[in-house]
Amino acid sequence: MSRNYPLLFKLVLTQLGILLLGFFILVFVYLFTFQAQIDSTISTLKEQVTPVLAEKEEEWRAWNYLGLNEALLSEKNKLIKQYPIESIEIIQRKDLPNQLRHTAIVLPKKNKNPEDYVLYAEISSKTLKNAIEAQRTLFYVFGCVASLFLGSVIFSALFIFKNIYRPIMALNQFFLNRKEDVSLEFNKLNVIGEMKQFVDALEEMLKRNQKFEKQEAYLELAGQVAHDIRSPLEALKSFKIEINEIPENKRIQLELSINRIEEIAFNLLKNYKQNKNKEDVRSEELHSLVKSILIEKEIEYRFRNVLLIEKFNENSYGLYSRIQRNSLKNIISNLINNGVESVTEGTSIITISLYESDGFNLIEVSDNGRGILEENKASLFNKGFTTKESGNGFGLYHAKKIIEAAGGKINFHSNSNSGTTFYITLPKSSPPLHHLDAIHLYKYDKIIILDDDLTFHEVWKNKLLEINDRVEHIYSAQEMLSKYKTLPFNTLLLTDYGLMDDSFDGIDIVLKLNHMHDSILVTARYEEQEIIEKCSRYNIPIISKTSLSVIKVIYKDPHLIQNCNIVLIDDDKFTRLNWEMYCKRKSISITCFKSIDEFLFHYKNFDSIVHIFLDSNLGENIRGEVESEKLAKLGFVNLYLATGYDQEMVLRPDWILKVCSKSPENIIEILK
Amino acid sequence: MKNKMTSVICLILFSKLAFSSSLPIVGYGSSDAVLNAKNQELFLMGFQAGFQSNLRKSDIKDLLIIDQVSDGSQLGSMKVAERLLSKGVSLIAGFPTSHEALLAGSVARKFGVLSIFSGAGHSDLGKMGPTVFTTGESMELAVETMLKFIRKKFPNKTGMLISNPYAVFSKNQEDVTIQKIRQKINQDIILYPAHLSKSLTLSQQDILKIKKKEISYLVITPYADESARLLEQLQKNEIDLPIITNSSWTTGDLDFGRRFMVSLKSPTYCQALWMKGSKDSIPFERLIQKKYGRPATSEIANGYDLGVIVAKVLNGITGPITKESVLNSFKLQKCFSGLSTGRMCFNPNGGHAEKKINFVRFTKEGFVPVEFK
Repeated sequence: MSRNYPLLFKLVLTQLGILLLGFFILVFVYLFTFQAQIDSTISTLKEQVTPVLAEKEEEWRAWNYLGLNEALLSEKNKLIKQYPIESIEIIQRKDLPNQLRHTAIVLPKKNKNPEDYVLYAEISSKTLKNAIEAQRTLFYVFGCVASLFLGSVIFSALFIFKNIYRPIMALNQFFLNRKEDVSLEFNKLNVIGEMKQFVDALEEMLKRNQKFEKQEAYLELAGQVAHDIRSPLEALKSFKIEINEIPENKRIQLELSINRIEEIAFNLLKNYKQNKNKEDVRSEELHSLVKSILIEKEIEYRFRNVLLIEKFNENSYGLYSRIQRNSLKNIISNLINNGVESVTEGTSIITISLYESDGFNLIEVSDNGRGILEENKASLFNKGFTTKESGNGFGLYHAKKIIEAAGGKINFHSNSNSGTTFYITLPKSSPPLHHLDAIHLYKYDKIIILDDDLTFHEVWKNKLLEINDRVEHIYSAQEMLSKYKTLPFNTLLLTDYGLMDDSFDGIDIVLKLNHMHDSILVTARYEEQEIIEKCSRYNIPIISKTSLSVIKVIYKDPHLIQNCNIVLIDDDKFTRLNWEMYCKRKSISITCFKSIDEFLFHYKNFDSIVHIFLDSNLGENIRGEVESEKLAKLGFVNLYLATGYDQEMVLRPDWILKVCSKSPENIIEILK
Repeated sequence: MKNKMTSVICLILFSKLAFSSSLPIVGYGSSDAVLNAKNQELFLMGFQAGFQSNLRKSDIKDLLIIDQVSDGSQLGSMKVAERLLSKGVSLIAGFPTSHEALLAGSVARKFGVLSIFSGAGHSDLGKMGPTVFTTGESMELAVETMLKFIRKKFPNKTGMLISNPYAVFSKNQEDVTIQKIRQKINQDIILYPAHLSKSLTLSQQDILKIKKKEISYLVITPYADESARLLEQLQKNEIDLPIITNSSWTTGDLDFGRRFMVSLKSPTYCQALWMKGSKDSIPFERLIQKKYGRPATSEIANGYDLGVIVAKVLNGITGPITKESVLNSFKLQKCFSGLSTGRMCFNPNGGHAEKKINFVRFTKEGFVPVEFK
């Protein structure tokens, strides 16, 4: 047993050892307490009897000497009946037994003369027997408890052997022989309780592990594919410069596709390296996500009779939902594939829409196919349900699970022969820090586009047609750095991330030029975590190249106060309040600033013809008549000096139209 | 436990006597196991009177040592005897009850020392050998005399023999009586035996028996003081029957039962050795009156007779005083006269004195002799 079941052997041996030890302790305690009980009983009885005997002892000895035997016998019998005494004798000391028993009482104690008569009494054996019996009963009880304990040891050993040890050994054997592909029938392990929970969890884990091993193999394969694909991809990218002859839209498509392949290869390789099999759930920008799928699909179906229609507008950009990016891509890709396959005759028209509805993001994928049969509608999302010959019925089932896990819904509307529309509804999530809702060009005097890809320069040219005179195109990092050590104020830098043949990427350039606050990274690798983290660290917004077509370009400041007629720049709060109150009464639009710097921060919001009143004393020795020159240089023409001093005393520069008092009533006159 | 009080008195130096030994010669002892201290004192008074008045030798010093135990100890007399013997006495005297005499005698006989006890009547004293003697009458003689008296006074009547099984004298008398009435000569005497309980009273059954008039007379064997509760019980049950007692009633303190005895119409008969006012007794009575200023009692008479005997034994010694010479002197004299009871003889083999036993009847004025021959 010790060799086959060392753990169980030790357990049983220990328990038996404890039992044996307990037994010895029990016997010892029993014997000790037994003797102690006997001694105690004898002692108690002696204490009870001795005084009585001591009282009689002398009289009885006298009677013995005097031959009053009847009286003696009568008295002795009386006492024996009354007290726990076995026998009483008056005998000579020399006739006493050599070895007196514990139960013996000899009186008087002091008399040592062997010829003298003494009282020799014995404690009742019946009383002692009763005490011993009581003690024995206790021993029997102990014995029963010990037997129960022994029984429990055996039972627990058998129980452990059957329900824990044997299953563990079976599992152990299974693990030892696992390489030999030996299977284990978990349901035959015959386990219960927590052990069953453990075995179930183990079984589940093994199943997951098997799946993981398969995924690992796929991942390894993917890694190999990604690795192998990079070399020809690099070659393909080197030809990009030479494909300018291709029409622009095709060229962009090709460019995006190459970037997408590169991106996929990168992700595959990254996942492989990180040994990741689970994608993070992040807040994803849905337009770029859907757009990337559409680009793939356009290429996939370019030789087929498939028409992909994008129904995106400027509002489609900047919609974020928390979901696994690749899973959603797969879902949309599958829906498009299903839509294409559902059209048996003519052109497959697939329409993709993305918009916001009732606080949710909605993706619609419509086809003009044959529709879903009524009888299949209810089972469409069931596991294993498929109408395709080669399908496995997991696509829509997983799609539903993933969408619902993200807090969303997927449903469909289908009419026979008039197509099907799938609706994916996802909860909105907050955009990440690196998100840019639109390109606000009104802030900048100059825009620099840094990209090694000529096609994207063309895209930008079309996008920024209105302000092309303020746009500078740069094609490499070297060119950028040789031209600029720093970038001027009010200059926006739109830079790609990967710059071919350069040792610097776009973020490196931004950092070198120390132009983080007025730069935007425009890249097809906008999904890469490394790039996102980098941008977040330096507060650089990211735009996906695929979203360039939909991202808003704002030329004019939305905060521009179109109807503002009056601007007051005065450091005195009460003056500002007074003017505001006055203008409110007169329904005149007024904006007040406490300093020229504050106004300069917002000056683009105002038309150059706005009437600007400046206090002559703006505090800290700042003179309105002096500082107003800055405003004049910015093109503001209607400048007035409002002063609390004598107007005659104030020097009026040429760019100041008039010097007036601080009374807001001046406004009416000037506006007239 | 009673307080133990042992008093040892070494006294009586007779400067006129010229014994060469410096050790005490006579040890007088007693204990209050049966008789109370007052009665014991009366015995001692008599002993001293008899001893002093009869001792002739003038060169005897440190003759007497007295050791008394008055703690109620049952083995007190044994201890006293041991103590006296350990002091080297050549004669043991005193111990005036059978209880004391038997215990002291059992010690003294081992030492081969002459022991003479006063008044003890237990029959076993006659079996203790040639060194143990008592001035008391023999129990056999006393019982025989009593049975003769019964035959005469209560012929063909049933009596009740009342004894105390816890008192050695009483029990001995009962034993000897039963033994005697089994003899052919006493076949006409019917005595129903009854035992006193520990509380010294008869059982209700016995009382009922008496009340049914199945009993014509009572033979009371315990001492007078031991019988006080019995007499009270008889009075309460309105039993008024003739009572026959032994010599202890005339020797001991009768006052314990006097209150009940005077109320009885039936006579109370006692055995008596000393007859007050008799010719033999008058010199003794005068001596006592002269010496102690009080009338003589039977206890004093008993003590006196022993004192006279002991003095005469010492007077009879010719050579050095040893236990052997003392014993020889006693045995050579054998009979002693000048006693309160006249002349008293002893069997050299030991035992009781040979003397006449009289019957007396109790009256308020004292005992009155009863002729029954």
